[in-house]
Amino acid sequence: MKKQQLMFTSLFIATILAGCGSKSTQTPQQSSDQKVTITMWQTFSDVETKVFDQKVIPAFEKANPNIKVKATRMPSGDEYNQQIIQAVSGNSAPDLARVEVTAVPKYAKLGAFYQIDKQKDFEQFSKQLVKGPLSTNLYEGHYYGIPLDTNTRVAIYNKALLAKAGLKTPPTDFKSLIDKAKGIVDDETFVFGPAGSSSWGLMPYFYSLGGTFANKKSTKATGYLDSKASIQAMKTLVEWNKKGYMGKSLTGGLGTWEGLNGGNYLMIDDGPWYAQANKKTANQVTYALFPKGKAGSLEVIGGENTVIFNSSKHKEAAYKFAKYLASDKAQTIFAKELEMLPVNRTTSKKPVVQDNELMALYSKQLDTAVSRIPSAKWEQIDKTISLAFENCLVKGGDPAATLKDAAMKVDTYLAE
Amino acid sequence: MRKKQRSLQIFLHVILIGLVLFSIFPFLYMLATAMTEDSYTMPYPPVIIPKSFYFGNFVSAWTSSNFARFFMNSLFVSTVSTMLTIIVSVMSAYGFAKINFTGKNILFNLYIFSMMIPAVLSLVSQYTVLNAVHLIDTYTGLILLYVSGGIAGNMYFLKGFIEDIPAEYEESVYIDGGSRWTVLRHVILPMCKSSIATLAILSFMGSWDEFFSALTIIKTESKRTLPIAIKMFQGQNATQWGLVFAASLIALVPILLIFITFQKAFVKENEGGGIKG
Amino acid sequence: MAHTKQRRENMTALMFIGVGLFLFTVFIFYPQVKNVYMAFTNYNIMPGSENRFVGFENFKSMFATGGTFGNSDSFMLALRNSVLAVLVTVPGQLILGLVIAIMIDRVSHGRLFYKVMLYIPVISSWVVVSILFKYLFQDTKGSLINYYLLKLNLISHPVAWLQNTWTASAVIWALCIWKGVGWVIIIYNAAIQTLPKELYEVSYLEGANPIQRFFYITLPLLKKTTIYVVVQLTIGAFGIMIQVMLITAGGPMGTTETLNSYMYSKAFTEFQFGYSSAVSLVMGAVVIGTTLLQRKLMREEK
Repeated sequence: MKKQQLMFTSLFIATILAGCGSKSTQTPQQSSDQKVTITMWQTFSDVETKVFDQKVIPAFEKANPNIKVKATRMPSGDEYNQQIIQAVSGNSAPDLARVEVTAVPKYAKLGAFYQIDKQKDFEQFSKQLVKGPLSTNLYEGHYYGIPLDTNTRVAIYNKALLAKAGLKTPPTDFKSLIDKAKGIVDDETFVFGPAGSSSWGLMPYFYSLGGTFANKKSTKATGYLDSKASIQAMKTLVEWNKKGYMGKSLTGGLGTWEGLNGGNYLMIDDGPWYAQANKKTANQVTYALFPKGKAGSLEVIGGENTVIFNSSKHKEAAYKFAKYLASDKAQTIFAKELEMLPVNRTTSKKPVVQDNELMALYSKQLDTAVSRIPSAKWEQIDKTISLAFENCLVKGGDPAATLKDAAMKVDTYLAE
Repeated sequence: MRKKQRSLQIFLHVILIGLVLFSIFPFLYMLATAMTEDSYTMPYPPVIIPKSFYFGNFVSAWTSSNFARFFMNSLFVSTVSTMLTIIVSVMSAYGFAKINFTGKNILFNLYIFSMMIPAVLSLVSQYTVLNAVHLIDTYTGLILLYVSGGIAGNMYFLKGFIEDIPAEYEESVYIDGGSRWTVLRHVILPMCKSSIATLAILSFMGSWDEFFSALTIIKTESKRTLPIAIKMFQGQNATQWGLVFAASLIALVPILLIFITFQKAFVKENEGGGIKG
Repeated sequence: MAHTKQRRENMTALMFIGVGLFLFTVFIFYPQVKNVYMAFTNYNIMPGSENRFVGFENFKSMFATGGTFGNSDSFMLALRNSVLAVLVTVPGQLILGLVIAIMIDRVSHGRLFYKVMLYIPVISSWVVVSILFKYLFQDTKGSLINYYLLKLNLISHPVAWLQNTWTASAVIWALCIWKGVGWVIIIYNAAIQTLPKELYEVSYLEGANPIQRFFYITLPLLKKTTIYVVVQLTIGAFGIMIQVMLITAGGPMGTTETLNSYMYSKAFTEFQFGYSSAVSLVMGAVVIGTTLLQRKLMREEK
């Protein structure tokens, strides 16, 4: 009896020891002539990963023979967030990571990211970058990342519905769009298919109609989110929803793509990925700038940044790579191979972007695009604003009172 | 009497077939989607019967980015952790069922209560522990987590069956000069065969489907397990549902096979209709 | 004498439960002790950072911060939804599972077939079936569920399942029951195999009818299994998270959020680990209380 018991115990100890013997994750301190390996977490798609691994990284390694880049593909979304937290808390973060633009401030606040403007040449380097995407790296006056890719959305129309509404080309403003389109509205047909009730979904509508979330410096929401113009914008949205213009995608119903392709939504707004994923219906849709409201045609800036972790032992090499990813050289590869919108101004002007009709359109929309509030509490702010939208649009709450409450709540987050 | 039996059988079959349809109905939709080309959006209006027999998604799921390798990784991790889980659980359950040790009730309740406090946050601490003993990025670490996670529930599950085994069986072993170990091997194991088989299936499934720990513990891409691979088919902005569903259907196969094998081998099927309840 | 005997028993026990106890202590118990500590601090996840002791602050904010956008409303909603999920899905799965298990036991042919078929939902991934259900229950007349309900004339207009708190909750519950019943069937099936046949033979001779046999023999004999199943199902129902995150994302207006999904987002998207730990402790207390009550009720019944 004892013998067998012993066997099992030793089996367990052996397995544990076997694990101990495996390679240690520590790497020696970097020195100039030594070859270093930097690790990066990225969230590119399958196709994008191929380009990243086979074209973008090799070009860098060729120019920097002392640096080897090891990129690991991670799933995107909630899990990625959890992985970063886990890695940071367990002191096992990679050197770099590709993170969503809105995520930078909260990790910066946590102290997880390296303050990149400590690098002497950063200011000079940042001059070649497109302003909007660059600004998403700002937290309390300092930069915590370098833009990697950027995107925004444009209006996409169902051609058949457009024709049904008696329109040959998409109108440029909301007024003329609705004038014509209201005739086609019924139980199953809507004018708009917004991407949900979060600020990502409704911000373009709200902003284009004259609303704002906060002041320019993003320190105050009262007086902005609850301003007359904001209340008016909200009232317009409520009215549209009452009249049946807003599709069910507003509350998580029929998806925007399904609705557009299926002839339920006349217009949705989406990023460049729509065209790549919907080749089948390419000739059934047409693209245009987001319709103009009182304040113009204001879309939201999306995209990702490259960040360096504070725990990185190879910050210099990591910085070099992060800069390279935003350089004209890398951005041209991204634009050429994947039609990704460049974050480098030189690349933006190149024919590879300008001669591509769709990219040029997105690029133009990006010129006026606004970024979401850069705050460590963005998620809470987003949730608060979403609740305000839902309260007015779905529950019939009073726009003025709801926005006032929400603005006060957002203020407390901004003050923290 | 016989006629009554027969109509009862027909009645049962009709209801059971209805239930079967109900349970696999969503999978038909899944299968139909998996057989659709270029499926970034779900087929709309819905299809249940595939329009075409297109197997491209299954092929590209299997051949894309190391899927086959992840499949084998998962097979290894799940097999080893299932085996260890069975050993640890049977021993623990026997200890709790048949040995009167000091503090048994307290320990038992501790085990049970531990299952009731949500484990979402535990991973943070588990990671710290594994990191301290250098088991991050090893299957050992991951398997230890899987085995540990199941101990309380499995012990609880088996304990009930072991307790029900009459003491006479055990006593006769002692009279013959056997030890507790002999009891475990020659009485408990054979008598709890079907419950252990059930446990094996459940625990295999548990690690086969597990995502969060696997993603957290395993850092090297080529060492990842299947659920991560499936998750990877879901893009940030666009997802090819045909691929996701094809991959998920492939992932179902091993568990189904194991389930059928174990059921056939261990679970007694007394022909002629088990217990008349 | 008795003392040494007990000591020997303890040593023997340690041999059997030792490995399990070690793993349990390190990987399950320790994290939970740490959890208790975290609940009383404003825990910062960064290594080497200071965690301030905040007393019952985290617990207070769960119950006493009001307003439309405050903590306590959302916590209470999550608590309500979790409790409702238990009340609906546990009896749902238990009764269906037991009845089906007995039916399968009684058919003369095709038992394995039925078991395999009913088991498929159990072995499929939560992530995938959650997404699947979201699509089955879309609000248009073209979505699978509405399509068939309209066709069968059960409804006259397509139902906006996921846009309404109660129908959305019903979809989540339906998913839990649909996916969980197979597990209950398998567990009961394993238990039924071990029931002593003699009792049934006696009951035949005494002329008991099937319903009597079910209530007076089968059910009491399955009591241990039933308690086990109920406890596990309760834990499972309190653990609902992925379903909510993927089907409704807590909407409409956070009204379908459950404790677990609430806790997850508080921790991993808002970094409020202290608060989240406090929620997990309260949740643990609720689950323990519920299962103790269940166990007591079921013991007393007989």
